[in-house]
Amino acid sequence: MPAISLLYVLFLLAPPALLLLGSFGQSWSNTLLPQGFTTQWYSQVFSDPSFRRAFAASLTVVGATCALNLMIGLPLAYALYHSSRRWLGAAGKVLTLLPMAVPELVLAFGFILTFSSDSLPWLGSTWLLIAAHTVITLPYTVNTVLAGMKQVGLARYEQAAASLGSAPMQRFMHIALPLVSASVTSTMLMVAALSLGEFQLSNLISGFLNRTYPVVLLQAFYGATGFACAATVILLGLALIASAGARITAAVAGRT
Amino acid sequence: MSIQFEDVSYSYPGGGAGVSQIDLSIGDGELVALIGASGSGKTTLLKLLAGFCTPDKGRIRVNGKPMASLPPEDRALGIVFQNYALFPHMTVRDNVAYPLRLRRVPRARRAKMADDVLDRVGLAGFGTRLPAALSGGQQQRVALARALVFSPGALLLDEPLSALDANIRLQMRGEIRRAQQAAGISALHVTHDQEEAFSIADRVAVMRAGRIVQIGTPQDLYDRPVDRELAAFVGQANLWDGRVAAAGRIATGFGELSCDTAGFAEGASVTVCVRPERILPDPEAGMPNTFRAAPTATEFLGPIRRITMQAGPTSLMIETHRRTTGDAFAIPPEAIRLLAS
Repeated sequence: MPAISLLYVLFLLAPPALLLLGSFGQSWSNTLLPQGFTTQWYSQVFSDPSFRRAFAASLTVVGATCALNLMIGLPLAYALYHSSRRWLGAAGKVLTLLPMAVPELVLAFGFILTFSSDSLPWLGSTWLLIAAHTVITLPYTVNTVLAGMKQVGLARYEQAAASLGSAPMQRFMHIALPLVSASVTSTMLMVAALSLGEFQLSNLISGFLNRTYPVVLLQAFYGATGFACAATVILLGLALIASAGARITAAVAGRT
Repeated sequence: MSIQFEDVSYSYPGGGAGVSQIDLSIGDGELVALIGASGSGKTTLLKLLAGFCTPDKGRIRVNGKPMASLPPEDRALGIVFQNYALFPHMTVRDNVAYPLRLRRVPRARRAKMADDVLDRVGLAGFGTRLPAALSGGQQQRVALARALVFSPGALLLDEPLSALDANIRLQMRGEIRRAQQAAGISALHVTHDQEEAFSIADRVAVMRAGRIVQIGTPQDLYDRPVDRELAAFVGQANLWDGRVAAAGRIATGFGELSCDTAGFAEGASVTVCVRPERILPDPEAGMPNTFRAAPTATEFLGPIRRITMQAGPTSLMIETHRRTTGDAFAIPPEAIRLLAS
Protein backbone atom coordinates (compact mmCIF):
# COMPACT_ATOMS: atom_id res chain seq x y z
CA MET A 1 0.00 0.00 0.00
CA PRO A 2 2.69 2.59 0.91
CA ALA A 3 4.50 1.66 -2.32
CA ILE A 4 1.40 2.46 -4.35
CA SER A 5 0.94 5.78 -2.58
CA LEU A 6 4.56 6.65 -3.23
CA LEU A 7 4.21 5.76 -6.89
CA TYR A 8 1.07 7.90 -7.10
CA VAL A 9 2.78 10.90 -5.53
CA LEU A 10 5.72 10.39 -7.90
CA PHE A 11 3.45 10.37 -10.95
CA LEU A 12 1.67 13.43 -9.60
CA LEU A 13 4.70 15.50 -8.72
CA ALA A 14 7.38 14.40 -11.18
CA PRO A 15 5.97 16.17 -14.28
CA PRO A 16 5.64 19.62 -12.67
CA ALA A 17 9.00 19.16 -10.95
CA LEU A 18 10.67 18.36 -14.26
CA LEU A 19 8.90 21.32 -15.87
CA LEU A 20 10.30 23.59 -13.19
CA LEU A 21 13.79 22.15 -13.70
CA GLY A 22 13.48 22.40 -17.47
CA SER A 23 12.41 26.03 -17.31
CA PHE A 24 15.79 26.96 -15.79
CA GLY A 25 17.89 24.58 -17.94
CA GLN A 26 20.11 25.88 -20.71
CA SER A 27 19.62 22.88 -22.98
CA TRP A 28 17.65 19.66 -22.62
CA SER A 29 17.89 17.01 -25.32
CA ASN A 30 18.37 13.27 -25.03
CA THR A 31 19.31 13.49 -21.31
CA LEU A 32 17.22 12.70 -18.26
CA LEU A 33 17.83 16.13 -16.74
CA PRO A 34 18.50 19.50 -18.41
CA GLN A 35 22.03 20.96 -18.59
CA GLY A 36 23.19 24.40 -17.37
CA PHE A 37 21.24 27.19 -15.62
CA THR A 38 19.55 30.20 -17.17
CA THR A 39 16.58 32.55 -16.66
CA GLN A 40 16.52 33.53 -20.32
CA TRP A 41 13.44 31.38 -21.07
CA TYR A 42 11.35 33.42 -18.64
CA SER A 43 12.46 36.74 -20.10
CA GLN A 44 11.76 35.34 -23.56
CA VAL A 45 8.23 34.35 -22.56
CA PHE A 46 7.63 37.78 -21.01
CA SER A 47 8.79 39.58 -24.13
CA ASP A 48 7.11 37.26 -26.65
CA PRO A 49 4.30 39.27 -28.32
CA SER A 50 2.01 36.29 -28.89
CA PHE A 51 2.36 35.20 -25.23
CA ARG A 52 1.72 38.72 -24.02
CA ARG A 53 -1.38 38.88 -26.16
CA ALA A 54 -2.49 35.43 -24.94
CA PHE A 55 -1.94 36.49 -21.36
CA ALA A 56 -4.07 39.60 -21.86
CA ALA A 57 -6.73 37.55 -23.63
CA SER A 58 -6.77 35.03 -20.79
CA LEU A 59 -7.08 37.78 -18.17
CA THR A 60 -9.98 39.33 -20.07
CA VAL A 61 -11.75 36.00 -20.43
CA VAL A 62 -11.12 35.00 -16.80
CA GLY A 63 -12.30 38.37 -15.47
CA ALA A 64 -15.42 38.48 -17.60
CA THR A 65 -16.22 34.83 -16.84
CA CYS A 66 -16.01 35.50 -13.10
CA ALA A 67 -18.17 38.60 -13.45
CA LEU A 68 -20.82 36.73 -15.43
CA ASN A 69 -20.75 33.83 -12.99
CA LEU A 70 -21.36 36.29 -10.19
CA MET A 71 -24.15 38.09 -12.02
CA ILE A 72 -25.96 34.94 -13.15
CA GLY A 73 -24.85 32.26 -10.73
CA LEU A 74 -25.42 34.05 -7.44
CA PRO A 75 -29.04 35.13 -8.11
CA LEU A 76 -29.74 31.71 -9.65
CA ALA A 77 -28.40 29.87 -6.61
CA TYR A 78 -30.36 32.21 -4.32
CA ALA A 79 -33.56 31.61 -6.27
CA LEU A 80 -33.01 27.85 -6.24
CA TYR A 81 -32.32 27.95 -2.49
CA HIS A 82 -35.62 29.69 -1.84
CA SER A 83 -37.75 27.86 -4.37
CA SER A 84 -40.31 25.66 -2.70
CA ARG A 85 -41.49 24.33 -6.02
CA ARG A 86 -39.88 20.96 -6.58
CA TRP A 87 -39.95 21.03 -10.37
CA LEU A 88 -38.05 24.31 -10.35
CA GLY A 89 -35.32 22.83 -8.20
CA ALA A 90 -35.16 19.76 -10.44
CA ALA A 91 -35.07 21.88 -13.59
CA GLY A 92 -32.30 24.02 -12.13
CA LYS A 93 -30.32 20.94 -11.22
CA VAL A 94 -30.60 19.43 -14.72
CA LEU A 95 -29.72 22.74 -16.33
CA THR A 96 -26.62 23.19 -14.23
CA LEU A 97 -25.51 19.57 -14.53
CA LEU A 98 -25.93 19.34 -18.29
CA PRO A 99 -22.74 21.22 -19.25
CA MET A 100 -20.80 19.01 -16.82
CA ALA A 101 -22.10 15.82 -18.40
CA VAL A 102 -21.60 16.92 -22.02
CA PRO A 103 -17.96 16.54 -23.19
CA GLU A 104 -16.38 19.89 -23.93
CA LEU A 105 -15.56 18.67 -27.42
CA VAL A 106 -19.26 18.21 -28.14
CA LEU A 107 -19.98 21.63 -26.75
CA ALA A 108 -17.23 23.14 -28.92
CA PHE A 109 -18.56 21.54 -32.12
CA GLY A 110 -21.97 22.85 -31.22
CA PHE A 111 -20.54 26.33 -30.86
CA ILE A 112 -18.71 26.01 -34.20
CA LEU A 113 -21.83 24.84 -36.02
CA THR A 114 -24.06 27.47 -34.49
CA PHE A 115 -21.79 30.48 -34.71
CA SER A 116 -20.11 30.00 -38.08
CA SER A 117 -23.43 30.46 -39.86
CA ASP A 118 -24.15 33.66 -41.78
CA SER A 119 -26.86 34.74 -39.38
CA LEU A 120 -24.69 34.30 -36.25
CA PRO A 121 -21.14 34.89 -37.47
CA TRP A 122 -19.50 35.26 -34.06
CA LEU A 123 -17.05 32.38 -34.01
CA GLY A 124 -13.64 33.63 -32.95
CA SER A 125 -14.95 36.63 -31.04
CA THR A 126 -13.85 37.22 -27.45
CA TRP A 127 -17.46 37.46 -26.31
CA LEU A 128 -18.24 34.02 -27.61
CA LEU A 129 -15.19 32.68 -25.82
CA ILE A 130 -16.37 34.31 -22.59
CA ALA A 131 -19.85 32.90 -23.09
CA ALA A 132 -18.40 29.41 -23.59
CA HIS A 133 -16.28 29.67 -20.44
CA THR A 134 -19.31 30.88 -18.52
CA VAL A 135 -21.39 27.96 -19.74
CA ILE A 136 -18.87 25.43 -18.50
CA THR A 137 -18.15 27.11 -15.14
CA LEU A 138 -21.66 28.21 -14.18
CA PRO A 139 -22.75 24.75 -12.92
CA TYR A 140 -19.83 24.76 -10.53
CA THR A 141 -20.75 28.23 -9.25
CA VAL A 142 -24.44 27.47 -8.76
CA ASN A 143 -23.78 24.18 -6.99
CA THR A 144 -21.10 25.42 -4.62
CA VAL A 145 -22.85 28.68 -3.76
CA LEU A 146 -26.09 26.75 -3.18
CA ALA A 147 -24.19 24.35 -0.92
CA GLY A 148 -22.70 27.33 0.91
CA MET A 149 -26.18 28.78 1.52
CA LYS A 150 -27.38 25.46 2.87
CA GLN A 151 -24.34 25.13 5.05
CA VAL A 152 -24.75 28.48 6.84
CA GLY A 153 -28.49 27.82 7.17
CA LEU A 154 -29.43 31.06 5.48
CA ALA A 155 -33.18 30.44 5.82
CA ARG A 156 -33.34 30.78 9.59
CA TYR A 157 -31.39 34.04 9.59
CA GLU A 158 -33.56 35.43 6.82
CA GLN A 159 -36.70 34.39 8.68
CA ALA A 160 -35.44 36.16 11.77
CA ALA A 161 -34.62 39.23 9.68
CA ALA A 162 -38.10 39.17 8.13
CA SER A 163 -39.70 39.07 11.57
CA LEU A 164 -37.69 42.16 12.49
CA GLY A 165 -39.07 44.03 9.47
CA SER A 166 -36.59 43.24 6.72
CA ALA A 167 -38.01 43.19 3.17
CA PRO A 168 -36.78 40.62 0.61
CA MET A 169 -34.22 42.93 -1.02
CA GLN A 170 -32.94 44.05 2.38
CA ARG A 171 -32.61 40.44 3.50
CA PHE A 172 -30.50 39.71 0.44
CA MET A 173 -28.24 42.71 1.02
CA HIS A 174 -27.98 42.68 4.83
CA ILE A 175 -28.10 38.98 5.60
CA ALA A 176 -27.59 36.70 2.59
CA LEU A 177 -24.69 38.52 0.91
CA PRO A 178 -22.48 38.94 3.99
CA LEU A 179 -23.14 35.38 5.14
CA VAL A 180 -22.22 33.77 1.81
CA SER A 181 -19.51 36.23 0.77
CA ALA A 182 -16.65 33.94 1.83
CA SER A 183 -18.05 30.96 -0.03
CA VAL A 184 -18.75 33.16 -3.08
CA THR A 185 -15.17 34.49 -3.06
CA SER A 186 -13.80 30.97 -2.86
CA THR A 187 -16.08 29.88 -5.70
CA MET A 188 -14.96 32.81 -7.88
CA LEU A 189 -11.28 31.98 -7.34
CA MET A 190 -11.98 28.38 -8.32
CA VAL A 191 -13.85 29.57 -11.42
CA ALA A 192 -10.83 31.74 -12.26
CA ALA A 193 -8.54 28.70 -11.97
CA LEU A 194 -10.87 26.59 -14.14
CA SER A 195 -11.22 29.28 -16.80
CA LEU A 196 -7.50 30.04 -16.82
CA GLY A 197 -6.55 26.42 -17.51
CA GLU A 198 -9.37 25.64 -19.95
CA PHE A 199 -7.92 24.30 -23.21
CA GLN A 200 -10.23 22.04 -25.25
CA LEU A 201 -13.02 24.49 -25.89
CA SER A 202 -10.80 27.56 -26.21
CA ASN A 203 -8.54 25.80 -28.71
CA LEU A 204 -11.49 25.09 -30.98
CA ILE A 205 -13.47 28.32 -30.80
CA SER A 206 -10.99 31.14 -30.14
CA GLY A 207 -9.90 33.41 -32.99
CA PHE A 208 -6.28 33.96 -33.93
CA LEU A 209 -5.97 37.21 -31.98
CA ASN A 210 -7.77 36.16 -28.82
CA ARG A 211 -6.23 32.75 -28.28
CA THR A 212 -5.97 32.14 -24.55
CA TYR A 213 -2.76 31.29 -22.75
CA PRO A 214 -3.11 27.47 -22.75
CA VAL A 215 -3.88 27.48 -26.49
CA VAL A 216 -0.72 29.45 -27.30
CA LEU A 217 1.20 27.27 -24.87
CA LEU A 218 0.61 24.23 -27.06
CA GLN A 219 2.39 25.99 -29.91
CA ALA A 220 5.39 26.58 -27.67
CA PHE A 221 6.15 22.89 -27.46
CA TYR A 222 7.07 22.91 -31.14
CA GLY A 223 9.99 25.23 -30.24
CA ALA A 224 12.71 25.22 -27.56
CA THR A 225 11.99 22.94 -24.56
CA GLY A 226 13.13 25.45 -21.96
CA PHE A 227 10.83 28.12 -23.37
CA ALA A 228 7.84 25.75 -23.27
CA CYS A 229 8.68 24.74 -19.72
CA ALA A 230 8.92 28.35 -18.53
CA ALA A 231 5.60 29.25 -20.19
CA THR A 232 3.94 26.22 -18.56
CA VAL A 233 5.37 27.00 -15.13
CA ILE A 234 3.83 30.48 -15.32
CA LEU A 235 0.38 28.99 -16.02
CA LEU A 236 0.85 26.41 -13.29
CA GLY A 237 1.83 29.11 -10.83
CA LEU A 238 -1.23 31.24 -11.58
CA ALA A 239 -3.56 28.24 -11.36
CA LEU A 240 -2.01 27.19 -8.04
CA ILE A 241 -2.40 30.68 -6.59
CA ALA A 242 -6.07 30.79 -7.59
CA SER A 243 -6.89 27.34 -6.20
CA ALA A 244 -4.93 27.94 -3.01
CA GLY A 245 -6.88 31.19 -2.56
CA ALA A 246 -10.10 29.28 -3.17
CA ARG A 247 -9.14 26.69 -0.55
CA ILE A 248 -8.24 29.27 2.06
CA THR A 249 -11.43 31.32 1.60
CA ALA A 250 -13.48 28.11 1.59
CA ALA A 251 -11.93 27.17 4.93
CA VAL A 252 -12.80 30.62 6.28
CA ALA A 253 -16.34 30.22 4.97
CA GLY A 254 -16.61 26.81 6.60
CA ARG A 255 -15.65 28.17 9.98
CA THR A 256 -18.40 30.78 10.26
CA MET B 1 -58.22 41.06 22.54
CA SER B 2 -54.77 41.05 21.20
CA ILE B 3 -54.05 37.87 19.25
CA GLN B 4 -56.96 36.08 17.65
CA PHE B 5 -57.21 32.93 15.62
CA GLU B 6 -60.64 32.36 14.13
CA ASP B 7 -61.36 28.97 12.61
CA VAL B 8 -57.84 28.72 11.20
CA SER B 9 -56.88 25.66 9.17
CA TYR B 10 -53.67 24.90 7.35
CA SER B 11 -52.19 21.81 5.76
CA TYR B 12 -48.66 21.49 4.42
CA PRO B 13 -48.27 21.24 0.64
CA GLY B 14 -46.39 17.96 1.04
CA GLY B 15 -49.33 16.53 2.98
CA GLY B 16 -47.70 16.93 6.40
CA ALA B 17 -49.92 17.40 9.42
CA GLY B 18 -51.01 21.01 9.76
CA VAL B 19 -53.64 22.49 12.03
CA SER B 20 -57.41 22.53 11.77
CA GLN B 21 -60.22 24.68 13.13
CA ILE B 22 -58.10 26.65 15.56
CA ASP B 23 -59.95 29.20 17.67
CA LEU B 24 -57.72 30.98 20.12
CA SER B 25 -57.82 34.41 21.73
CA ILE B 26 -54.92 35.79 23.67
CA GLY B 27 -55.73 38.87 25.73
CA ASP B 28 -53.76 42.07 26.18
CA GLY B 29 -50.59 41.33 28.13
CA GLU B 30 -51.54 37.68 28.44
CA LEU B 31 -49.02 34.89 27.90
CA VAL B 32 -50.46 31.69 26.46
CA ALA B 33 -48.27 28.61 26.22
CA LEU B 34 -48.89 26.04 23.52
CA ILE B 35 -47.83 22.55 24.44
CA GLY B 36 -48.09 19.26 22.64
CA ALA B 37 -46.04 16.40 21.32
CA SER B 38 -43.85 17.09 18.29
CA GLY B 39 -45.98 17.09 15.14
CA SER B 40 -49.05 18.24 17.06
CA GLY B 41 -49.10 21.53 15.16
CA LYS B 42 -47.89 23.97 17.80
CA THR B 43 -44.99 25.28 15.74
CA THR B 44 -47.25 25.48 12.68
CA LEU B 45 -49.58 27.76 14.63
CA LEU B 46 -46.65 30.04 15.45
CA LYS B 47 -45.53 30.06 11.80
CA LEU B 48 -49.04 31.03 10.72
CA LEU B 49 -49.05 33.91 13.19
CA ALA B 50 -45.54 34.98 12.11
CA GLY B 51 -46.50 34.87 8.44
CA PHE B 52 -44.08 32.13 7.40
CA CYS B 53 -47.13 30.12 6.29
CA THR B 54 -50.49 31.35 5.03
CA PRO B 55 -53.64 29.71 6.40
CA ASP B 56 -55.89 27.84 3.97
CA LYS B 57 -58.90 29.07 5.89
CA GLY B 58 -59.77 31.35 8.76
CA ARG B 59 -58.61 34.69 10.08
CA ILE B 60 -55.71 35.81 12.24
CA ARG B 61 -55.73 39.24 13.88
CA VAL B 62 -53.19 41.00 16.03
CA ASN B 63 -54.48 44.00 18.00
CA GLY B 64 -57.51 43.97 15.74
CA LYS B 65 -55.48 44.16 12.55
CA PRO B 66 -56.00 41.35 10.01
CA MET B 67 -52.73 39.59 9.23
CA ALA B 68 -53.79 37.54 6.22
CA SER B 69 -52.36 39.71 3.46
CA LEU B 70 -49.26 40.90 5.32
CA PRO B 71 -45.81 39.40 4.71
CA PRO B 72 -43.77 38.60 7.86
CA GLU B 73 -41.80 41.86 7.63
CA ASP B 74 -44.93 43.98 7.89
CA ARG B 75 -46.45 42.20 10.89
CA ALA B 76 -44.26 43.84 13.57
CA LEU B 77 -44.12 40.76 15.79
CA GLY B 78 -41.12 40.08 17.99
CA ILE B 79 -40.00 36.48 17.63
CA VAL B 80 -37.48 34.61 19.75
CA PHE B 81 -36.36 31.56 17.80
CA GLN B 82 -35.33 28.19 19.11
CA ASN B 83 -31.72 28.65 18.01
CA TYR B 84 -31.86 32.43 18.58
CA ALA B 85 -30.88 33.09 14.93
CA LEU B 86 -28.60 35.97 15.92
CA PHE B 87 -26.85 37.26 12.81
CA PRO B 88 -23.32 35.85 13.13
CA HIS B 89 -21.71 38.63 11.08
CA MET B 90 -23.09 41.46 13.20
CA THR B 91 -22.03 42.54 16.67
CA VAL B 92 -24.47 42.14 19.55
CA ARG B 93 -25.32 45.84 19.34
CA ASP B 94 -25.87 45.70 15.57
CA ASN B 95 -28.09 42.66 16.04
CA VAL B 96 -30.28 44.47 18.54
CA ALA B 97 -30.24 47.69 16.50
CA TYR B 98 -31.12 45.90 13.24
CA PRO B 99 -34.91 46.30 13.52
CA LEU B 100 -34.35 49.99 14.33
CA ARG B 101 -32.07 50.39 11.32
CA LEU B 102 -34.86 48.99 9.15
CA ARG B 103 -37.21 51.55 10.69
CA ARG B 104 -34.78 54.33 9.79
CA VAL B 105 -33.95 55.34 13.35
CA PRO B 106 -30.85 57.59 13.17
CA ARG B 107 -27.60 55.76 13.83
CA ALA B 108 -26.68 57.41 17.14
CA ARG B 109 -30.16 56.98 18.55
CA ARG B 110 -30.48 53.34 17.62
CA ALA B 111 -27.08 52.55 19.17
CA LYS B 112 -28.26 54.23 22.36
CA MET B 113 -31.59 52.35 22.32
CA ALA B 114 -29.81 49.05 21.71
CA ASP B 115 -27.41 49.68 24.57
CA ASP B 116 -30.30 50.57 26.88
CA VAL B 117 -32.10 47.33 26.10
CA LEU B 118 -28.89 45.32 26.48
CA ASP B 119 -28.38 47.01 29.82
CA ARG B 120 -31.86 45.95 30.89
CA VAL B 121 -31.19 42.29 30.08
CA GLY B 122 -27.92 42.41 31.99
CA LEU B 123 -25.58 42.57 29.01
CA ALA B 124 -24.15 46.06 29.36
CA GLY B 125 -20.69 46.16 27.78
CA PHE B 126 -21.32 43.19 25.50
CA GLY B 127 -22.40 45.37 22.57
CA THR B 128 -19.21 45.10 20.55
CA ARG B 129 -18.88 41.31 20.79
CA LEU B 130 -19.94 38.86 18.14
CA PRO B 131 -22.76 36.45 19.04
CA ALA B 132 -20.42 33.45 18.78
CA ALA B 133 -18.46 34.82 21.76
CA LEU B 134 -21.51 34.62 24.05
CA SER B 135 -22.85 31.72 26.12
CA GLY B 136 -26.23 30.18 25.30
CA GLY B 137 -28.00 32.13 28.04
CA GLN B 138 -26.43 35.40 26.90
CA GLN B 139 -27.40 34.73 23.27
CA GLN B 140 -30.92 34.07 24.49
CA ARG B 141 -31.02 37.46 26.20
CA VAL B 142 -29.75 39.19 23.06
CA ALA B 143 -32.47 37.44 21.05
CA LEU B 144 -35.07 38.63 23.56
CA ALA B 145 -33.70 42.18 23.48
CA ARG B 146 -33.74 42.18 19.67
CA ALA B 147 -37.33 40.92 19.58
CA LEU B 148 -38.56 43.62 21.97
CA VAL B 149 -36.48 46.69 21.03
CA PHE B 150 -38.83 47.84 18.28
CA SER B 151 -41.97 47.71 20.46
CA PRO B 152 -43.66 44.86 18.56
CA GLY B 153 -47.39 44.25 18.66
CA ALA B 154 -46.93 40.82 20.22
CA LEU B 155 -44.19 38.45 21.32
CA LEU B 156 -43.75 34.97 19.84
CA LEU B 157 -41.53 32.44 21.57
CA ASP B 158 -40.58 29.30 19.69
CA GLU B 159 -39.15 26.80 22.20
CA PRO B 160 -36.82 29.54 23.40
CA LEU B 161 -35.38 27.58 26.32
CA SER B 162 -34.91 24.15 24.82
CA ALA B 163 -31.25 24.71 23.95
CA LEU B 164 -30.26 25.87 27.44
CA ASP B 165 -28.92 24.03 30.49
CA ALA B 166 -31.49 23.21 33.15
CA ASN B 167 -30.39 25.82 35.72
CA ILE B 168 -30.17 28.67 33.19
CA ARG B 169 -33.55 27.62 31.82
CA LEU B 170 -35.20 28.32 35.19
CA GLN B 171 -33.61 31.75 35.38
CA MET B 172 -34.42 32.64 31.75
CA ARG B 173 -38.06 31.73 32.03
CA GLY B 174 -38.42 34.28 34.81
CA GLU B 175 -36.64 36.87 32.67
CA ILE B 176 -38.85 36.20 29.66
CA ARG B 177 -41.95 36.57 31.79
CA ARG B 178 -40.72 39.84 33.30
CA ALA B 179 -39.74 41.29 29.92
CA GLN B 180 -43.09 40.36 28.43
CA GLN B 181 -45.00 41.95 31.29
CA ALA B 182 -42.85 45.07 31.21
CA ALA B 183 -43.61 45.42 27.51
CA GLY B 184 -47.29 44.81 28.26
CA ILE B 185 -47.90 42.81 25.09
CA SER B 186 -49.57 39.48 24.50
CA ALA B 187 -47.36 36.49 23.93
CA LEU B 188 -47.58 33.05 22.41
CA HIS B 189 -45.06 30.63 23.86
CA VAL B 190 -44.52 27.32 22.10
CA THR B 191 -42.88 24.58 24.12
CA HIS B 192 -42.88 20.83 24.59
CA ASP B 193 -42.01 21.23 28.26
CA GLN B 194 -45.15 21.05 30.35
CA GLU B 195 -43.47 22.30 33.51
CA GLU B 196 -42.09 25.34 31.66
CA ALA B 197 -45.53 26.08 30.22
CA PHE B 198 -47.19 25.83 33.64
CA SER B 199 -44.65 28.05 35.34
CA ILE B 200 -44.66 30.88 32.80
CA ALA B 201 -48.13 31.02 31.26
CA ASP B 202 -51.39 32.64 32.26
CA ARG B 203 -53.17 30.00 30.24
CA VAL B 204 -51.98 26.82 28.58
CA ALA B 205 -53.36 25.34 25.37
CA VAL B 206 -52.73 21.67 24.69
CA MET B 207 -52.52 20.60 21.05
CA ARG B 208 -52.94 17.16 19.60
CA ALA B 209 -53.13 16.17 15.93
CA GLY B 210 -53.51 19.77 14.76
CA ARG B 211 -56.25 20.74 17.17
CA ILE B 212 -56.44 22.47 20.51
CA VAL B 213 -57.87 19.81 22.83
CA GLN B 214 -58.00 21.94 25.97
CA ILE B 215 -57.16 25.46 27.00
CA GLY B 216 -57.21 26.87 30.49
CA THR B 217 -55.17 27.99 33.44
CA PRO B 218 -52.47 25.54 34.52
CA GLN B 219 -54.63 24.61 37.50
CA ASP B 220 -57.65 23.95 35.26
CA LEU B 221 -55.64 21.64 33.09
CA TYR B 222 -54.20 19.77 36.01
CA ASP B 223 -57.38 19.42 38.04
CA ARG B 224 -59.88 19.04 35.22
CA PRO B 225 -58.28 17.35 32.22
CA VAL B 226 -60.82 16.68 29.48
CA ASP B 227 -59.68 13.21 28.57
CA ARG B 228 -57.49 10.33 29.55
CA GLU B 229 -54.65 11.19 27.19
CA LEU B 230 -54.53 14.75 28.43
CA ALA B 231 -54.54 13.65 32.06
CA ALA B 232 -51.51 11.47 31.33
CA PHE B 233 -49.78 14.21 29.32
CA VAL B 234 -50.15 16.90 31.96
CA GLY B 235 -48.27 15.67 35.01
CA GLN B 236 -48.59 12.19 36.51
CA ALA B 237 -51.94 10.47 36.87
CA ASN B 238 -53.43 7.20 38.04
CA LEU B 239 -55.91 6.15 35.36
CA TRP B 240 -58.19 3.20 35.97
CA ASP B 241 -61.04 1.73 33.98
CA GLY B 242 -64.30 1.82 35.86
CA ARG B 243 -68.05 1.57 35.53
CA VAL B 244 -70.82 3.58 37.17
CA ALA B 245 -72.36 0.97 39.50
CA ALA B 246 -74.96 3.29 40.95
CA ALA B 247 -75.35 7.01 41.51
CA GLY B 248 -72.25 8.03 43.45
CA ARG B 249 -70.60 4.60 43.17
CA ILE B 250 -67.89 3.51 40.72
CA ALA B 251 -66.80 -0.09 40.32
CA THR B 252 -63.05 -0.51 39.73
CA GLY B 253 -60.61 -3.41 39.69
CA PHE B 254 -59.83 -3.04 43.37
CA GLY B 255 -63.29 -2.23 44.74
CA GLU B 256 -66.05 0.35 44.70
CA LEU B 257 -65.27 4.02 45.04
CA SER B 258 -67.73 6.60 46.20
CA CYS B 259 -67.58 9.91 44.42
CA ASP B 260 -69.66 12.39 42.45
CA THR B 261 -70.96 10.71 39.29
CA ALA B 262 -72.95 13.63 37.94
CA GLY B 263 -73.09 13.57 34.17
CA PHE B 264 -72.61 9.82 33.85
CA ALA B 265 -75.47 7.34 33.51
CA GLU B 266 -75.62 4.17 35.53
CA GLY B 267 -73.67 1.40 33.76
CA ALA B 268 -71.50 3.82 31.76
CA SER B 269 -67.82 3.02 31.31
CA VAL B 270 -65.53 5.70 32.69
CA THR B 271 -61.87 6.40 33.31
CA VAL B 272 -61.07 7.21 36.91
CA CYS B 273 -58.33 9.81 37.19
CA VAL B 274 -56.57 10.46 40.49
CA ARG B 275 -53.39 12.49 40.88
CA PRO B 276 -50.72 10.58 42.85
CA GLU B 277 -50.33 13.26 45.53
CA ARG B 278 -54.05 13.15 46.35
CA ILE B 279 -53.97 9.52 47.52
CA LEU B 280 -53.26 9.13 51.22
CA PRO B 281 -51.08 6.24 52.25
CA ASP B 282 -51.52 4.97 55.82
CA PRO B 283 -54.97 6.66 56.31
CA GLU B 284 -56.72 7.16 59.60
CA ALA B 285 -59.56 4.78 60.39
CA GLY B 286 -63.00 5.64 59.06
CA MET B 287 -61.93 7.60 55.99
CA PRO B 288 -64.06 6.97 52.89
CA ASN B 289 -62.62 4.97 49.98
CA THR B 290 -60.07 3.18 52.15
CA PHE B 291 -58.57 0.01 50.68
CA ARG B 292 -55.95 -2.42 51.85
CA ALA B 293 -52.91 -2.67 49.60
CA ALA B 294 -49.33 -3.85 49.64
CA PRO B 295 -46.54 -1.39 48.90
CA THR B 296 -44.29 -2.86 46.19
CA ALA B 297 -41.73 -0.12 45.61
CA THR B 298 -40.65 3.17 47.13
CA GLU B 299 -38.59 5.91 45.53
CA PHE B 300 -37.16 8.60 47.77
CA LEU B 301 -37.12 11.91 45.89
CA GLY B 302 -36.17 14.27 48.72
CA PRO B 303 -39.24 16.39 49.46
CA ILE B 304 -41.57 13.54 48.56
CA ARG B 305 -41.59 9.80 48.29
CA ARG B 306 -43.18 7.97 45.37
CA ILE B 307 -44.81 4.75 46.48
CA THR B 308 -46.15 2.04 44.22
CA MET B 309 -48.93 -0.05 45.75
CA GLN B 310 -50.68 -3.11 44.48
CA ALA B 311 -54.41 -3.41 45.19
CA GLY B 312 -55.83 -6.52 43.56
CA PRO B 313 -54.99 -6.34 39.85
CA THR B 314 -54.41 -2.58 40.01
CA SER B 315 -51.12 -0.80 40.52
CA LEU B 316 -51.29 2.68 42.08
CA MET B 317 -48.82 5.52 42.18
CA ILE B 318 -48.82 7.59 45.33
CA GLU B 319 -46.75 10.64 46.14
CA THR B 320 -46.48 11.70 49.75
CA HIS B 321 -44.33 13.78 52.06
CA ARG B 322 -45.02 11.32 54.89
CA ARG B 323 -42.16 9.11 55.85
CA THR B 324 -44.20 6.09 56.85
CA THR B 325 -46.01 3.64 54.64
CA GLY B 326 -48.95 1.58 55.86
CA ASP B 327 -50.75 -1.31 54.23
CA ALA B 328 -53.76 0.72 53.14
CA PHE B 329 -54.60 3.86 51.19
CA ALA B 330 -57.53 6.24 50.96
CA ILE B 331 -58.80 8.36 48.10
CA PRO B 332 -60.80 11.42 49.15
CA PRO B 333 -63.94 11.54 46.96
CA GLU B 334 -63.19 15.11 45.84
CA ALA B 335 -59.81 13.94 44.45
CA ILE B 336 -61.52 11.68 41.95
CA ARG B 337 -62.21 12.90 38.47
CA LEU B 338 -64.24 10.84 36.04
CA LEU B 339 -63.48 10.95 32.32
CA ALA B 340 -65.56 9.49 29.53
CA SER B 341 -63.79 6.50 28.04
